[in-house]
Amino acid sequence: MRPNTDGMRPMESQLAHLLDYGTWIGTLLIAVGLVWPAAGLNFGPRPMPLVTLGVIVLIALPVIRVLVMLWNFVRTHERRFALLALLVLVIVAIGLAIGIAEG
Amino acid sequence: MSSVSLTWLIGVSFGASALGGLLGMASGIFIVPILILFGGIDIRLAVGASLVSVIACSCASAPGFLRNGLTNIRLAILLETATTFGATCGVLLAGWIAVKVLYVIFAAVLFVSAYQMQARRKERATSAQGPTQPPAQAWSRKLDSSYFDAVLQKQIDYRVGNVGLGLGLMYGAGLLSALLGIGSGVLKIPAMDTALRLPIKVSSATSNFMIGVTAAASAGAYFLRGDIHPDIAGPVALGSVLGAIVGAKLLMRLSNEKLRWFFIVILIALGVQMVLASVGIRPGAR
Repeated sequence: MRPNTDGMRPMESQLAHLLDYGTWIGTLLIAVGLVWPAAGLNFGPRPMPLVTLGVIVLIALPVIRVLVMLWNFVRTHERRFALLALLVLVIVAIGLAIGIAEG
Repeated sequence: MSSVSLTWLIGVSFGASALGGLLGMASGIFIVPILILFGGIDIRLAVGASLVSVIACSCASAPGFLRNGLTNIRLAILLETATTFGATCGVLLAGWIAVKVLYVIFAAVLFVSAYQMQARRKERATSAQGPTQPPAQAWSRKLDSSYFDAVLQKQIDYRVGNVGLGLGLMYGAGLLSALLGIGSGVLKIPAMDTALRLPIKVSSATSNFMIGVTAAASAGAYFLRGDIHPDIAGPVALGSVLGAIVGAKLLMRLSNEKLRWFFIVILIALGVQMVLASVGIRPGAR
């Protein structure tokens, strides 16, 4: 996978977009959720659920990133790297299962 | 629950992240001890909050590195199997290790970081082209790549060194990250520089990329376990992201040498306080 002239490789560009938007959405949700009560706005959705949602978006973002990589490696027939991405997802899932079991 | 205010949480995380960003360090190494020592926050909640901010900062800075072609995503996915496995083991261990012991481990990490900062990383002139390289037909050659160096104005090809040792160190980095809520630069720097022998720019970009999913592996588990409180993790993540943006802008204007020594002093001071806290002495506590 050599870079093309402007140095941008297709999967890299996709991942960059995903992480860019994802971070913005997560951070913005947290910011709105925190400012809401601070500004004395007591109407509409309750504040903490927004902050919680923002935190969930941030935690999920890198996992979605691995999913996108898996999809790309499957498409380009890079079997070994696809398996590695799958392995990472399985390990993360095991961690989540531990969290649920101990929660 | 502690008595710290929203502004205090945002402010402290902003400061730690802005300063940390100046020397390319993850802010967790400052945020966790500050939350524990000065905020009186339980170490598990501090670790959980810090992990969310580590993820946010990794995801916020990754696009820039990706666009510059510095991140080696194939090497990253390979090493992430080790970091996430380490993180999952860390989640299991975290419940078993006494808080006192966690404090001491954290202090050790702070001292080693101070030492590393003093020793400073150098680019090897011979990079990874030496005769000790594994044979060219090895599978790990698929990991070799190249990047465009803006300073030298040319394409730099590089080869990846000892993958086995790199994986071992990365497992340790994932474990430490889950236990302490940090980015684990302490182990990633030797893993990337000494074992894998990557150019520094590729090494920084790739380890920054990896820390996101590494921290997510443990943060996801802690969230479901109830150890991530949005009222602490939210403000800490927000402050950190804003701090990282400001830190990156300031980076160009400040003298690196003075800053380095300032950091070494802070790392040692926090390390000493963590040791004292492990035996119940807390000078700065609220």
